[in-house]
Amino acid sequence: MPAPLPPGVSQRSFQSALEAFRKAVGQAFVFTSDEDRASYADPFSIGDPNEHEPSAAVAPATLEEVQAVVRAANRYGVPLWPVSMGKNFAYGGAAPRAKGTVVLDLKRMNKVLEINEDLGYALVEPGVSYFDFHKALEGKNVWMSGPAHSWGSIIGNSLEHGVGYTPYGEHAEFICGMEVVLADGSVVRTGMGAVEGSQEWNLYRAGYGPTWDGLFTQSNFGIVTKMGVWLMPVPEGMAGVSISIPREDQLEAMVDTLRPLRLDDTINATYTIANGMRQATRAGSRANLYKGKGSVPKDVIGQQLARQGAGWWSVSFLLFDRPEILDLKLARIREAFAKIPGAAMAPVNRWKKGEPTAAWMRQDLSLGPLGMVDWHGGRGGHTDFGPVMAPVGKRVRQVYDLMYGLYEKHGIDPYVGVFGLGKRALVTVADIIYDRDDADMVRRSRALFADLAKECSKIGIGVYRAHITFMDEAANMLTFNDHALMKLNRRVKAALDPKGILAPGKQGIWPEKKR
Amino acid sequence: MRAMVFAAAGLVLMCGAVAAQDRPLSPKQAEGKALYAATCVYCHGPRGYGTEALAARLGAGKGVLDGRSDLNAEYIRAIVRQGLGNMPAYTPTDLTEDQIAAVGEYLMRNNPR
Repeated sequence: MPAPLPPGVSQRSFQSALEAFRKAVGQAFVFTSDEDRASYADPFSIGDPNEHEPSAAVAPATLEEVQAVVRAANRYGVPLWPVSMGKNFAYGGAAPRAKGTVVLDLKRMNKVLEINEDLGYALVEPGVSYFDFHKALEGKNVWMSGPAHSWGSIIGNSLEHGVGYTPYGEHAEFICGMEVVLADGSVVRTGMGAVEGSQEWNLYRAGYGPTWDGLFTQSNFGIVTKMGVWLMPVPEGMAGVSISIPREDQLEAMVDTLRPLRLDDTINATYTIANGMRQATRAGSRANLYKGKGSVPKDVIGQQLARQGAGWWSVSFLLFDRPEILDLKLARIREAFAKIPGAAMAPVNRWKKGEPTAAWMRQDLSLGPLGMVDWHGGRGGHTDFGPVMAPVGKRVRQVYDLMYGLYEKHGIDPYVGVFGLGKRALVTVADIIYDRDDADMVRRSRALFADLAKECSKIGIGVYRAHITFMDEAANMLTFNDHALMKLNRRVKAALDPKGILAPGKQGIWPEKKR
Repeated sequence: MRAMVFAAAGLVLMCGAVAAQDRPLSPKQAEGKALYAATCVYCHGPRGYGTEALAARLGAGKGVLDGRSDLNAEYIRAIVRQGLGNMPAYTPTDLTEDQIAAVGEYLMRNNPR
């Protein structure tokens, strides 16, 4: 199949751009074959696998090579889609938003430039994966916070607002200092990195003047080539807690019980709530649970939970502190949950510094959760809808019921989890799991996302990220004052990247000429 | 008598298998082993998602890739570069052609010769 051309670029200009890229990074690192291009496609595409097909990929190894590629892209008007590891498969992997965009693969920039145990930070390049970083930290007195899937990039996950399970689990909050290549090929360093010879680049986030780090997260305003990340000193102790709540109508009580415990740091890391459907997937595959059409009915889920001895809800979290303080925290948590009829805490796992780590601590790397794409059998895929909500029972109930009804309407299984985002927000990770070879299910899954975005927007809800296919729908949820924030984003885009070279369409931010 | 013949044949096969597993790795196989441990084992290790998926499809003995003796280089390359089922394709920067070949050498070390 012939490769698509970048939008608005002639074959001749494209060929000239490819030549310039080869000159910049070497012949071997410009990829144009069908097989190579296909390897950058969305592996779990929700619909036409060619919808986000790249025209080529180019893989620089140094800052200077990134600059040379960006300058060449500017010269020929060729858009670039920067990716670090490109493994964020629920959101499109390495595939670009706009068909024909060239993937700028930063995986060869894979150096851990500094690990500072005394100050608890590291400086890394985009191609450093959690796997790599875990090895680099072995034997050191600092821990990283890893996400559920560990093959992604530290920079990529943090920039996309990824979540882990330690007190440092809100990853974007622990970025400190960036080196960024702008659309004209120039380089800036943010925060204290703006000071020549600074030794405080990765220690103080605000710097002097506007704080820019946030502007380069989930955006298309620049390419992050180095980033500081704060690391947690190895704790003195840990506890792993899992609590089961029996009834579906106890959601509000659970959320309202968790909120004060999280707010005062009794629970000092992200917690994860799983609904009945999510827990019932322990049945293995869907066929083991239910063979009917439409979403799995609640009574079927209830029967499966009874077989598992599970309640309708489960909440699990890790605690980090000295052993004697963990005892106090656990007593307080037990006391709080004792007020919810039927709430049951599983035997608590404990760990002390110096002991070997165990799986429950989530310090060992994994790709285990990827297995959920097998739910329907055949070639699966998944994405999710991630509304941000106040951790208030009534509000969570409002959003959850709205979403559950829409899952049932579209006949998709309501596989829903809820993560704590910091202390003052929750995000529902409402997974949409589909069979890629079932065209009707794929169509219903897309319609479900559109409906979720439309209906949640009506009750003042926005999302925390979105798959490349749904970035415009998610951006349309920013409705205040006639979409004023998106207008501001476009003005910034026009100022920093007038030719629209960097990641057109990312997070719904399109260049002027493409809108 | 027939049982004895099968038993003897089994003994020969078993000795052959042990000999293959004990054989020192070539430099290429050693490189492949390290790459396998760094890249593949998270899914294809003893409790990995890929191992379970393969065992479900092909039988328990076929789950762990580096315990098998029926893989070939072209097939390994095709799966790594193009993906299969729910395994995503690896890009040329995830694993180069030389690296895939090294992984193949390692995974084929037990093949009958």
